[in-house]
Amino acid sequence: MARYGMVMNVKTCLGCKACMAACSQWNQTPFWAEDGGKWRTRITELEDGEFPEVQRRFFPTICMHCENAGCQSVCPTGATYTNKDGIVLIDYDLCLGCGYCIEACPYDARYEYEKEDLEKDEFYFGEDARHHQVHIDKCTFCVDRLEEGQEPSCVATCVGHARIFGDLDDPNSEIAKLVNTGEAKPLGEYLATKPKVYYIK
Amino acid sequence: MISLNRRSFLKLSSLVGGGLMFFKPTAKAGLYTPHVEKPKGSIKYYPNICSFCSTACDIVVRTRVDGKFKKPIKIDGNKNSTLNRGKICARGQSGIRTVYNPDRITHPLIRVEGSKRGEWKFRKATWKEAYDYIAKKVKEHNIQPHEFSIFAGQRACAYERLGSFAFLASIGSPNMIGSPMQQCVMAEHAGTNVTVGTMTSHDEILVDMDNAKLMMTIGSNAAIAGISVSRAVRFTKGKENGLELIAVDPRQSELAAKADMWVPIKPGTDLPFIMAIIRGVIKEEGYEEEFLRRHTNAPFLLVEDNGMPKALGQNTNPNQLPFAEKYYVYDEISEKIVEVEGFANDNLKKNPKIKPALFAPKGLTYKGKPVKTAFDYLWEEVKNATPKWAAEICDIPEKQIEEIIDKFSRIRPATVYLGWLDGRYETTVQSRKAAAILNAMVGGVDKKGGWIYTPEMREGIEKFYEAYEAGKLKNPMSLTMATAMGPGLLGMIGKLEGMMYNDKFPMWRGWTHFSRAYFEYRKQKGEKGIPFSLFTNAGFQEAVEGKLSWNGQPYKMKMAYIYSTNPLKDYYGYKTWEKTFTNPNLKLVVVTEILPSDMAKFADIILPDKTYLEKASEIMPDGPNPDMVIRKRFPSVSQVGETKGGGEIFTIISKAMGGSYQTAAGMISSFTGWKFGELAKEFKKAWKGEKDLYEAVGDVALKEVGKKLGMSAEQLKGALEKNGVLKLKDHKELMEEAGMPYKLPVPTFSGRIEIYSTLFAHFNYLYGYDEHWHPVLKYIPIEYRKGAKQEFKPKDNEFFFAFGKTPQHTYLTTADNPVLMAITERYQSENFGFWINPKSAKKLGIKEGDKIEVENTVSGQKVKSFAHITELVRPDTVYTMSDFGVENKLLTYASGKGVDLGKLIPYRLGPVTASAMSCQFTVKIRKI
Amino acid sequence: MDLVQQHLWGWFIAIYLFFGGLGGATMALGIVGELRFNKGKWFGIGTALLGLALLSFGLLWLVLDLIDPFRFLLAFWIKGIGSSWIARGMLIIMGAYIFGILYVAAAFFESKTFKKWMGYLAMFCGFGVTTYTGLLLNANVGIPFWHTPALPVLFTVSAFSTGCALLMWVLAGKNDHESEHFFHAVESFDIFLISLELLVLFAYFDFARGGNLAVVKSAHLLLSNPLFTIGFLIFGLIAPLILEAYASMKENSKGIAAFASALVLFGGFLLRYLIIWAGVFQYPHGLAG
Repeated sequence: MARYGMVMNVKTCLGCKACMAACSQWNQTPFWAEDGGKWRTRITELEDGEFPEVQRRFFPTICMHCENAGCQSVCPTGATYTNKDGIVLIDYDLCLGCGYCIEACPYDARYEYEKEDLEKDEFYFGEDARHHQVHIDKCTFCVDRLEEGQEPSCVATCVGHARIFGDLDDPNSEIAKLVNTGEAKPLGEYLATKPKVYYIK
Repeated sequence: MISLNRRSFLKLSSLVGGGLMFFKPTAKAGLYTPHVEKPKGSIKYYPNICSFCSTACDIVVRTRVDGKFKKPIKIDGNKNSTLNRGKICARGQSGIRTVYNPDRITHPLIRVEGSKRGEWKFRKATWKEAYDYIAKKVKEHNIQPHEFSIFAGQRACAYERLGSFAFLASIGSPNMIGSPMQQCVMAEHAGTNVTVGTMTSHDEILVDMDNAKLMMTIGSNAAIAGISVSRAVRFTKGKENGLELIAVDPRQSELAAKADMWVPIKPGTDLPFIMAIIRGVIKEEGYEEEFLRRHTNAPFLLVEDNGMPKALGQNTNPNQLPFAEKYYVYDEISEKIVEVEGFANDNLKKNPKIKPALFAPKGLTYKGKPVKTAFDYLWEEVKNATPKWAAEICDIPEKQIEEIIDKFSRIRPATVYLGWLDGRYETTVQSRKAAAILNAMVGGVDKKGGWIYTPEMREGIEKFYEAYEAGKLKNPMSLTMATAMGPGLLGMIGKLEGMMYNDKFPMWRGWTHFSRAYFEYRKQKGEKGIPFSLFTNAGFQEAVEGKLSWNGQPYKMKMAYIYSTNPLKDYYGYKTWEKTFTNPNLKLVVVTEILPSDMAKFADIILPDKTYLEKASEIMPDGPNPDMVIRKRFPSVSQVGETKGGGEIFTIISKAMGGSYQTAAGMISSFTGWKFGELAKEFKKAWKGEKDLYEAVGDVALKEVGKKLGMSAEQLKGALEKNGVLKLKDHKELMEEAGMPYKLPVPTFSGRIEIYSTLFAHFNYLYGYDEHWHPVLKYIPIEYRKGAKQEFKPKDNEFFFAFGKTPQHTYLTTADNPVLMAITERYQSENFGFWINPKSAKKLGIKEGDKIEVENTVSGQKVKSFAHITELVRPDTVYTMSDFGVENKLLTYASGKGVDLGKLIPYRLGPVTASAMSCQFTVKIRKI
Repeated sequence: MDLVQQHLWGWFIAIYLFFGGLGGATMALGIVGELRFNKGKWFGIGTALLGLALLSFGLLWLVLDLIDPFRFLLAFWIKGIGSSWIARGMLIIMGAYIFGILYVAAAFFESKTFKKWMGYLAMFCGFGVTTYTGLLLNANVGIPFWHTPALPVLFTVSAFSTGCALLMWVLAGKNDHESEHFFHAVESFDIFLISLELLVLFAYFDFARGGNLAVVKSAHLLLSNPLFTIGFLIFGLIAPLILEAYASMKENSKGIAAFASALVLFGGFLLRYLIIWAGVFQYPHGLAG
């Protein structure tokens, strides 16, 4: 039993997008989809101010694994659930594919894994394809990598040390320190979703 | 737990829907669960070396292995690596998508009889046919070794260098073009290299960012956040440790976005900017005096000779490498001019009791001639470069320059990072030299937080110095040979002047590299030659056109082998290259590629290459890693189509040209010091087609390196296969034991850090005087276009031009990767368009996404693109990415996207290093 | 704040919400007509079946909106009923079908008490369906324009208004006294509903004015869309209100009233489509990309 979470350090994110590629390769997310793909994690580029007083920032986003997850509460079939480690997951076998959760997520973390996506998944990954039925897709904190004792794919490759993953309940972990000191804060606290992903901005 | 089958589920649900909610939450419907068989085999991890950029990260490939079948599943950084520290970038992550790219060429292709180059009319062929075809053409056109040139592109140059040299030696041709050398290394690093003696593939100045407290980067986004993972991880750590970053770049790059101070300098003004800082630091006495006195040649006494400074003692014999017996300094203790050693790491080596003066007393003369120190010369050149003067030229606030001067005078360790891929101008060499001098002045060489030498550099110079000190190199021939095999700058110049440019070198049978012949051709036309054009393409086009001669005989170019590069785009001037490759004088064009590149269109025969995940390798050093580490590739893919690795293809072409494996073995043996007999035995197998060349070299390497480490070849192989990398020594230890220049000389011709370049002085005697290779420093005001001098401020729709690269691509080589292209398209406006500041855009009535035409005011070239409006670029500058613009329709993902810089930047060789003056022009923007 | 207009839901869901609401309201009103206004056995059976048919037609579009419509059976797996309005809606819809059909059967076999009970239950479910269409959108935390209590009210009122309109159509063809009487009852009820709808709509936008950026943006999107201002407000709401009021004061004005009903139906559909269209996500800054 753990309470997994992630800290995103916007200050150190270099905007290289290795996380996006890493995630797409482990989780076989639809990079083939039109207009730049569908991703479980993304980097948003922000530009504040006017030349020369302008600041460019790279903003990593991912499923926030909310403790009070809107997606989970609207899911009619109970396909979306929270596992023992606090990771919000989707049981593909149960997913009706109504998209209600996409509409309910205030963090834009979900997308549809459609029929064409299944075909492309097979095209690119052959018999190693991991998606076999349509469903709503989102970040899983690479729960299968955690089982093997590896960090999530994006965290493992983050060049700027902008993604820090760990157990929020372990007071000695790097992440718990960042969260407990208040250095890292969740996004959109007014939403009362209690995200387990925190940001240093 | 209740598990429902289809039937009971239907029954229940049709009864009453609500009833179901009472089931336990773990219940599974299972109604639509597909039956999927788990793929056969088990998971294994193979270490490899990433091949997407020159950083060459250590990776491990998660592979599904089923008997002999291997399929890579996922790539991750190697956690054991001190190079990339377990991380890799988007390109590295997407490598498998290149292996299984649906566009891959999987069979040899021969151009259909009667078709023209560039049309893409090919037929599938077998390897036997391919061999026969090449052999037939070579015989038919009587192609001599010097009439052949290899374009050793990214893979051949960065990872398979040994194979490339072996190949060239086997056929006896001097003509190697290293992946556009002048674009990729020479222009950027020549200025640095002549100062600190480095010079291998990519910048090789390993900045200890972990420990630096102040770093100024000049346009070097590509080298850190643009992205080079090995450097980016150090930068990240450095930031955590309190590194202060000053980023000098006309646009806010990924790196500049992380800066504490962004200096959006006007393009093409690096030199006056750095000069102002040098002046300021000297004025504030913020330089490391002790270091300059002892370990640099700043105190060397210089005399004026024909308008150029010359060190007293400089070897002025143009036919010899510029090693000198001795140099002279002014000793402040005895107040006399005293001799110092010609090649040493320390000016106090011969006589520890002297105190070499940085500034000579006024009116000092030597043999009746006035003499000044190199540092005096430097001061004189920069003394008028006030912050106000520079601020005006560079169009940045004067205060900013003053602040930087203050920081560099105060904060230690401080360093300057030059990186790569910024705009090139005719002054690039001088401005890089200035930056290297600044770095030397603040003492940032081979110290905590400074520039660190690679372990190979240390090993090489140690060997060279030992032989030198023991008097073994007294004979000029052995000195030349030892230099050519030496490290860094010494090795490069040794190879350039001792081998490639030397028609006495037996292997060339009286010929020399074509760029040497081109040099003479320019001289005849009354133009200055390009002295530092080793491995460049300078003169290739002229050789094809039949304009060159050597020793009175025409120097023709009949055959080109292009391995993993794309001259049409990478070398700029698309049209001139198109003309060259369609010239009938060129009898045979062989291309080795993984994907149907634009270059492949111009081939007579295409030989499909393997990707890095399919290749074996020799034992390689750990790239840009200051630690002493060895590593090796272990293939993790089953055969894809009929592809063959670059090594196998080398031997096939060599055989078809009548090449000899023994010469190849000889060359590699002298490079590496490995036993000739062992190499020859293995090479024989390779040339017979029984063994891949890299496996052959790898097997010898395992034995030889194993011997050195006291391990058997098997043990070493096992250790490498298990860990991927083997760390032999930490860089801290190396710096302690073999600090350069504290304990060992650096690989310059004086052994010291050179404020005064003995090599550039040598060029003056060999090739004539030119301020572009001024031995100390020379301010050269550039001309952007006719009538637009250094101070020029563009008006109306005219702009300066800057380009760079996006972190998820390596120029054109990765453009056709589906994952990387998807990421790129997600941010397509910044990646495919021209960045324009909103102020300027407003004036021109241009909005985001508007179609525009961009015209080069110097060459008249025009490209069509669209506008990306952003505050991240100077109002007088437009910026675009260099990674796109490929045309071959067979490239599903990349074709027709972005800007082709080859169509905007002309083929125009710059002075000193033959680099394209890639940004020395202005552009006009029109809305269309 | 990053404001992003939602585009996942569109015509399909609008059609579903419209026909769902219309079907529910039609059944509820029809049963009222039969039970309270003694419209007779066949009227009750007819409107109940019509209501269910419309609901079924609407559901078809919901199913079509699924990533894979063939997975619709999972909709019966309502484990999420504790919090999910789709699951609850499934239950209500199931109820509407079960009690509706039982009511029809009872009416057919003229089992009086049973019919009455089933009728009330079916009515309740029909009413539930109309409200639920609003609650469905209401549950989206991320879209503040939907996440307001006014929305279910608006949808319910609008659904009944369209239900009335449909009934008026059905009744317009009949000339008996009972029908006449009921027609006018429905007519006045619809006038009341449309007035109420206008009021709720006003409250809804007034509420939006003081709301956060996303709500303001949604409201702005609607108010600057002629489909909303001219199409819905004028032709779908104000015009039928005037026409129906005019018709209610005149004899033999069924034609005008029927035309007004058509406008109401058209307006009802537009409202749903436009409200869905104007849904704007309010993401914390940095998320939209």
